[in-house]
Amino acid sequence: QAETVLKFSTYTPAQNFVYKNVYIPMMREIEAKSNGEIKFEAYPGSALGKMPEQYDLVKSGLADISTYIPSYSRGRFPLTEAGSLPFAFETSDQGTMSLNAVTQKWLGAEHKGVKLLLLWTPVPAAFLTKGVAIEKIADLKDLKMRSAGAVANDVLKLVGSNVLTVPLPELYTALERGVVNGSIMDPVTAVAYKLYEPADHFTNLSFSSVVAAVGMNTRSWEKLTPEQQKIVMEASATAATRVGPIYAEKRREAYEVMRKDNFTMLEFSADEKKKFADMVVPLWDKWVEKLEDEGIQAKAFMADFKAAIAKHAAMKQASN
Amino acid sequence: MRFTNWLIRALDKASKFGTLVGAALCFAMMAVLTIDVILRATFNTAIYGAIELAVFALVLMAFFAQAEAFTAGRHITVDFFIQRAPAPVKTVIEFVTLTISLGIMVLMSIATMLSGLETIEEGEISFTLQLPVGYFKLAAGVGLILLTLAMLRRWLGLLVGARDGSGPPR
Amino acid sequence: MSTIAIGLLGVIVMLVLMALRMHIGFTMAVVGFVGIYIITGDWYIAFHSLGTVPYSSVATFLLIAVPLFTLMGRFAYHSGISADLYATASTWMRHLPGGLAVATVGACAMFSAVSGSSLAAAASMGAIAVPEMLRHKIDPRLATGVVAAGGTLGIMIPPSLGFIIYGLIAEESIGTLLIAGILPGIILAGSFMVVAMIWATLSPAMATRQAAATWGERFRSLGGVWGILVLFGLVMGGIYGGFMTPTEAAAIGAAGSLLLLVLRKGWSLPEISESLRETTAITAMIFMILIGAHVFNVFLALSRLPTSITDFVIALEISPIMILLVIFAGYVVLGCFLDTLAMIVLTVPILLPAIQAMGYDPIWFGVMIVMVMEMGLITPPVGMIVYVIKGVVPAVELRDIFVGVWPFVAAQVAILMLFLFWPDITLWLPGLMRD
Ligand code: NA
Ligand code: NA
Repeated sequence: QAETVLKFSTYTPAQNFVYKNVYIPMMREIEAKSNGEIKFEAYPGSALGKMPEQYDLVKSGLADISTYIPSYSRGRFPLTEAGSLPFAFETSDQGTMSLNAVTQKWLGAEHKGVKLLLLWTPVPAAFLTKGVAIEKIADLKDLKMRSAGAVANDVLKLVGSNVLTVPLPELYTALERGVVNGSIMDPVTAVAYKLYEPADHFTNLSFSSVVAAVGMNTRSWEKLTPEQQKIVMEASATAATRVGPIYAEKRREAYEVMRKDNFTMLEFSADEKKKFADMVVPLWDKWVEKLEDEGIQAKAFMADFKAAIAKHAAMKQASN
Repeated sequence: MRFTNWLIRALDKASKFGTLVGAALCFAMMAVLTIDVILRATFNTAIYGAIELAVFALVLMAFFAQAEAFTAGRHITVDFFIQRAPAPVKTVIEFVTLTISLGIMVLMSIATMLSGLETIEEGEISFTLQLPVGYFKLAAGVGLILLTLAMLRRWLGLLVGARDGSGPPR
Repeated sequence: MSTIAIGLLGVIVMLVLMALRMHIGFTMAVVGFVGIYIITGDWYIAFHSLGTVPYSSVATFLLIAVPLFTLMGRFAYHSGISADLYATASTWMRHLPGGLAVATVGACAMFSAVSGSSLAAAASMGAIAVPEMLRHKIDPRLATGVVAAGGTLGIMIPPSLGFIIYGLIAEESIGTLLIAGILPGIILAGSFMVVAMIWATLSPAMATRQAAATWGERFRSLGGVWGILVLFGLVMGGIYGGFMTPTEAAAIGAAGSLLLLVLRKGWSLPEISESLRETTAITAMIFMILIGAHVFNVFLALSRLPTSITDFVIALEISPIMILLVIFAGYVVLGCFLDTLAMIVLTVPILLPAIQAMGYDPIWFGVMIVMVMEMGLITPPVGMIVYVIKGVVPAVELRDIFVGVWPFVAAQVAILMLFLFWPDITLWLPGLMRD
């Protein structure tokens, strides 16, 4: 058997913990289990293309495997967008496991030209703010909030915030000088970009998630033997189980950093949380309705998806 | 011949019009962002999707202006090494490099159009204003086609000039 | 053939085609396209890259600043402010040794504060300052040399298209980069003034002194230029203070510059539309380079040339300073032939990983290479800025301009060494932004 070299491309920098703790072990596992028949060449840190280009370059075959963010191209992966619906998941583990439970049955087909290996979500994002406390929905009204996600945009508009676009490298200064009052942000990214320095409040509310995907070019996939395909799928499944725990750990570390920085950590009251959840229910319904209109079986999908979320609900206690 | 002349004039008009549209969009981009900043500073409000509008304006402007930028000789080249070469040598070199350039631009135009059509079919929309992204890619492809035609015109001019000895057109 | 060899070959073929006067953007696209095919062995992959790259290279929020800062400079230029800038600077400085030459540096620095590129600064100041200096019997070599040197401030003092493109490629904050250019720009301007004064003192016959203006005259002369100073303060203050993103500041800058034009010339439609058309053409030109560079960089990444250069540099047993000096020398040579923006898109993806691996700050490196590239624009055998000046004052011999430039290049080298051994000078101002 000749050696197959697979190009693995990701926007994640080589020193990032997801790259080190999820992607590298996944590649090593495939190399080891295939007895050296498969070898990886890695292109981390957007070497082959920036984040929004990663799907295109695995689809064309420039990379054999790439990691991309379906939520970044709105409308392109309609069902996968369910993972970004407000309050879908409480933890990274719950999100990752629920999504992968419905991946092969529902989501794989809409990732065209690609064999979808796994989906994962980081820690759900909530509100990172400077000088304003967000403890109830009304607090969000008229605030200048940065958002980078489609669904988060819609929710912010719904609650009356001013939605602004600020690239991540400029967010530090923007927060510091009040160009924005806050941002939809997860604690891990907030610490990675030192955003906890200008900001001083964090509202812990599992508000919205981004969905990341790892996909393999269809032609490259078909060139693998059935045994090799099995090895790749097994390694992908193992990789998915690694995401939640590492994010739980990183979240604990991030909270620690924020506490040391005298952050005010806030929560919505149970009543207010319920009110918010009720308020965004129409967004879920509208989402289903819109896709049904386009001929996509969103209702049936939603039943499976919600069952998966409920099934993995235990995980949120485990990793909290 | 008459048809050729008509075609050339239509091409000239199209590339001039492209720059004009680009210039208007450039102004619009400035206006939208300025108003957005002023609104934020005075009324604590913002134009929904202002940045997105500006990015789309930028795309249209950049691609529609390509043809005229080429015709007007705006594109940067390294003149040092062949500036003292005799005119016929220069013409031959230009013909060769232009043929290569034309080749890549034909491919790039077609590939961009196809990519645009694919994006339309996949239904990708913009984050905030939910505008269909594919049509803007298609517009980029149109701009590149205009550029390719402008290059083709220059290429044919070199070919004809070399044959009847009238030299390269400008 | 190893992929690294293919990568090297690609670089060579690209340089040859460029030397044959092929357009830079097309050259990079062709070599990138063929290179992707050779490495992947699949035409479809190479073709597909050509289809996705143009749109994704351009549809970037950070690039909005490119046309807007260009527009700011074009409006300012068409408002006829250059003559006023020069008049003001000479009112303040003409009594110094080589006074009009010193004033030229001051006027160039002020024009740079609204213009994003060096060639624009050199062209507009050259046309006004050189004839005036020649009329006052200043040595033509000093007169043209000082404009050439002053022109290089255009891309160092913000706004600067060079820093925008660098920030985009290096994924660094553009706001931080722009702010980082202010202090080096002022230091450079100061050193050029000192050089002009020393030159004039050493050979007083060559550069005559003028009678000093009264303080009343000096403050009255500010009437013509206050707009530019306010505009610079607004734009840079907005970025520095974090009240605006660089993109928004660029829009405000362009709108403010339009206001200046209207205040000085009324609603002069021909000039407004000319500014917009020029901006559109310049933007089209720059973006075609970005598109070509994007295709080329995919090929380079596939060839693994940048990673092997990094590994190679790390393994070298030479001090990092030596490596930097070699890199800088390479930039001076490249700067003889290539435009600054083209150099940035070509070299930064190859070199930056190695630079960061050696532990240097990417913001600092950006300031350094922009400065070095500008030296290439005024040194023989080819200096774009020098040609521009020759274009606006044809009476002066090209050779004289190149001779006149040397003392200023010496000053640039001295400042470069200063920043090399005390990088904190460039990082101090942006550092304050974060405190
Ligand atoms: Na400038
Ligand atoms: Na500048």
